[in-house]
Amino acid sequence: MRPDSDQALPPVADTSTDRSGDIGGAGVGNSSGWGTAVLEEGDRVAFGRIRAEHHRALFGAMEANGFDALVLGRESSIRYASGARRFWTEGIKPFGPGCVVIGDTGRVHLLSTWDDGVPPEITGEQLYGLTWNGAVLAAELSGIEGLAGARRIGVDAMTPGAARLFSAITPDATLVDASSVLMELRRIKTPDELASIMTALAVAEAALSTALFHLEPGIPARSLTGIVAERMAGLGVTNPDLEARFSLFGPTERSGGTLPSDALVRCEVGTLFAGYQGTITRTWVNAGNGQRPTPANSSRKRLARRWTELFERLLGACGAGGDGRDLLSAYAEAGEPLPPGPVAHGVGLGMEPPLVGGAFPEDAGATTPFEPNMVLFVTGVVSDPDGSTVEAGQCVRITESGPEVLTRHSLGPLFDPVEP
Amino acid sequence: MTAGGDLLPVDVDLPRMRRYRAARLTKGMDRLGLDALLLFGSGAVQYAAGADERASDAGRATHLRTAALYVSGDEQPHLFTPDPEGAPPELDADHRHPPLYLESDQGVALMATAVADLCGSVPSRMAIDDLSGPLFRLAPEVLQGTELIDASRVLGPARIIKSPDELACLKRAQHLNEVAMVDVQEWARPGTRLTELTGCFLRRAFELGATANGIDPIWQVMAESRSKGPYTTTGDVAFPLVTSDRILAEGDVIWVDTGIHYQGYASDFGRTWIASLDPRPNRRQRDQFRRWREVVDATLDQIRPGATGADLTEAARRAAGGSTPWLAHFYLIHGLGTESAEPPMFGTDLGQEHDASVLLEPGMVLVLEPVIWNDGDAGYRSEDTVAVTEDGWIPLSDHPYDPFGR
Repeated sequence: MRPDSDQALPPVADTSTDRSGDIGGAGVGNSSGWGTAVLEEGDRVAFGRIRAEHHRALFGAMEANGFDALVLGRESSIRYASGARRFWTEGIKPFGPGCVVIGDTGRVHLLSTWDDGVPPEITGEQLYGLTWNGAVLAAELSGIEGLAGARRIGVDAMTPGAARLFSAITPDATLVDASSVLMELRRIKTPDELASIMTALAVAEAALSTALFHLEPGIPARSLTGIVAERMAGLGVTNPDLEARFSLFGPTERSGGTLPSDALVRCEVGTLFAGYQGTITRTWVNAGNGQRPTPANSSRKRLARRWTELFERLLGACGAGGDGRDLLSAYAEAGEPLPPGPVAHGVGLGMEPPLVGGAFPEDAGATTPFEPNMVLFVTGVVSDPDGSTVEAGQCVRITESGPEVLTRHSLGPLFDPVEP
Repeated sequence: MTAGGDLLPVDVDLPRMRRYRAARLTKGMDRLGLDALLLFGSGAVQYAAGADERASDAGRATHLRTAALYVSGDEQPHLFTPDPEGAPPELDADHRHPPLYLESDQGVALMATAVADLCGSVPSRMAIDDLSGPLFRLAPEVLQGTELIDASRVLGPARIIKSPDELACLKRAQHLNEVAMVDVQEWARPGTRLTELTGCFLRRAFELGATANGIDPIWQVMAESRSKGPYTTTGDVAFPLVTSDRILAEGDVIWVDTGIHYQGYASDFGRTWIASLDPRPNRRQRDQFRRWREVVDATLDQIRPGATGADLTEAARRAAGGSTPWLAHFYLIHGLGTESAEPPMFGTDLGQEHDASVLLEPGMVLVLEPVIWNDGDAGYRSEDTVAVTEDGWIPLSDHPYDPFGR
C-alpha cells in the first residue's frame, strides 16, 4: 500500500559549468528536437531530476532563511515544492494551505485525497485530504510532524481566516512572507526546465500555426480559440497559460466578435507543459488564404519595420548584467511609447517575475539583474496614430554570450524575409 | 428579485444582473459594518465587477490582476484591470483603474494609497479575500488601523441567491456544455486518447459560444473496485483525477466532468459513459443507474423553499437504503455560480448539523451529484442541476443519460 512506499528521490544532476549552455536532458540528440512523445534513448525532460533539484534548493533556502516550515497556497509554489501533476483550474483562488514543507523531517506534505499524480517520494502518510471543515483541517495540519513546534513559518500568501487558523494550531510560530525567497529559487532555469519551456513553446507555436491556417475573413474569434485548444490537446497538452485570443486592436466588441477581412489580428496563444510556460504573440493580416504570405501595404510594412527596429534594441538590452530598465530605455531610444502591458516578464512555472513595464512598479522586476539561463518573454508593440498596431513577443534566454531567441514561429507576412 | 415562476429571460440583461449583484454585496457590507470590500480571487472579482472574462493560468492572473473594490455607500465597484476594454460598458470612467500589482512592496504601497484615496480615508474595517505575500508582510504598516475580515462573510450570503438573469446565464452555460457533449460522446470509443476528448470538447464549446473554460476537462476511466484505484486518505473512490493521454479500451467506464463558462457563469456537466462503438451496460451497471435515479428523484422531491439541506441528504440516504450515496471527500449537493462549486453545499464533512441549519430559498442553485458504487462495477455518477423556485424547482440541465437511459 501507498503509505509504506518511501522511495528516495533520484540523484541531483551535475548542473555545474559543463551543462550550463545546454537545454534539455542528458542523452537526447539535438536531431530529435522538441516534441511530446517518449524517446527510448533518454528523456527530453528528466522530471525526477527537476524534482530533486527543486527539493534540494527548497530545503537549502529554508535553512538559509531560518524557516522551520513553509505553508504554500499559490499554485506555482505548490508545483515547485511537490512536483505533482496538478488539476488545472482557471484564474487565481484565495490562499489555502495546499502544501506544507517541514525543514526538520525533510518532508513535503500535500493537500490531496489520493496519490494519483503525486510523485513517489511523497508517501500516502504525507497526504492530507480535501475538507470543508475548518476543525478537520486544523486537526490534519496539527498532525503533520514538525509543524506544531515550528517557530518561523514561511508563507507565500494568506487570508484573514487562515491567519486565525494558524494562530490556533501553531501559537508559538511567526508567519513570515516567503514569496520573494520562493521566486528567487525559480529565477535561473536548469537544463531540464529549459527543455520543458522549449516543449511548451513548440506546442504553442503548433497551435498558433493551425489557427492561422484557419484564419479567414468573417471567422468568429472564438472558433480560433477552440481550434487552438483542440490542436494543443491533440499534442497531449491541455493546460493553457492563457485561453487563446484572437482580437482586433483598439476598442472593439469582444465576445462572439468576428474577424473582418484585411484586419490586423492580434494573436495570443499560451500553454503549460508540465506547468512550464510557452507563450507566443503575433500580429497577422486576415487575408484568408491560409499561411501563404500576402504583400502588406506600405504603411503596414513601415509599422513592421519599426517593430523590427524596436525589437533589435530590446534584444540588445537582454545581455547578462543588464536589467529591465534597459528594456524600458530601448523603447525610449526607439521613440516608441511603452505599451500598457508588460514589456517583459519571466517565464517558468507559468508567468513569473521579473515584471517590467510602464504599468509596473520598479521593484516588480525592472532592477533584477539579467543572468544566464533566466528566460524572459519580451514584447514589442508599435502603433500608428490611426490605431494600427503590430505586436509580437518572443521568448528569450539570457546567456553569457548574449540573448538567444527561443521562439521559432514566423513573424508573418507583414515582415520582410529574414536575411541569412 | 427571485426566480419566481418558471420563465427565465431569454436575453440576459447584463447591466441589470450586475446591479443586482452589486446591491447584494453592498447590503452585506452594511450588515457587517464594512467601509470597503477588496477582492482579488478570479471568481469573486467576476461576481463583483462583471468584467469580460480573460481565462488564464493562476500565475498569469497573479501578475496581471483584475481586482474589485467596493466602497461603503457606493453601488458601483471600482475595477482595476490590465484589460480596460473588458470593463462593463455602464461602469463610470472614475471607477476604471489601471491594474494593481501586489507581488512587490512598492505595488502594495500603491494599492494601499489607491484604496485610501477611493475610500476618502484609511478604511477602519475592510473585507478581503486574499493577501499576497508582500501584502501580508506590509499590511500592519500600509493598512495600519484597518481591521481585515474574510470576504467570504460578504460573498457567501450574496452569491447564494441568484437572480433570473444569473440563472439564465447558468442555464445557457449548461446548454452549451451539453450540446458540445453530443459530439464528444461519439468519440468516447476504443482507441481515442482522453486528451483528444478534451480537444473535441473545447473546440465545439467555443464554436457554440462558450466565453471561457473553467477547468481541465475530466474523463476518468474508473477502476472497477476501490482496491484497484489510487490510494485515498478516505478509503473511498478517487475522483476527479487529472486527465492523461490514456487510450480508451472497449468497455472502459468513464466519469465525465466538465465546466465551460458563459458570461462568467460556470456549467457543471457530469455523466457516466462506456467506451464502445456499441455501449451496452450490463445488468449490474443498469442497476447502479436505476438506484442513482432513485436517489436523485427522492432528493428532488424534497426541494422547496423552507426545506433544509438535511432534508435532502436524509432523503438521499433513505433512497440508497441507508448508505451514503456520494463521495466521502465531496458532497451530495453543491451550488454553482461564478465558481464551479460554491455554497450551498450539503453532505460535506461539516456534518448533518450544518446541513440542517441551511434553509432552501428561491434562487438557490443545486447541483446533485450522487454516486452509486457497487464495488466491482466501476460505479455510476452523473450530475443534474436545478434552481429552487417559489414552489419547488426548475431544471437548469437537460441531457440524456446514454447509454443508461433517459
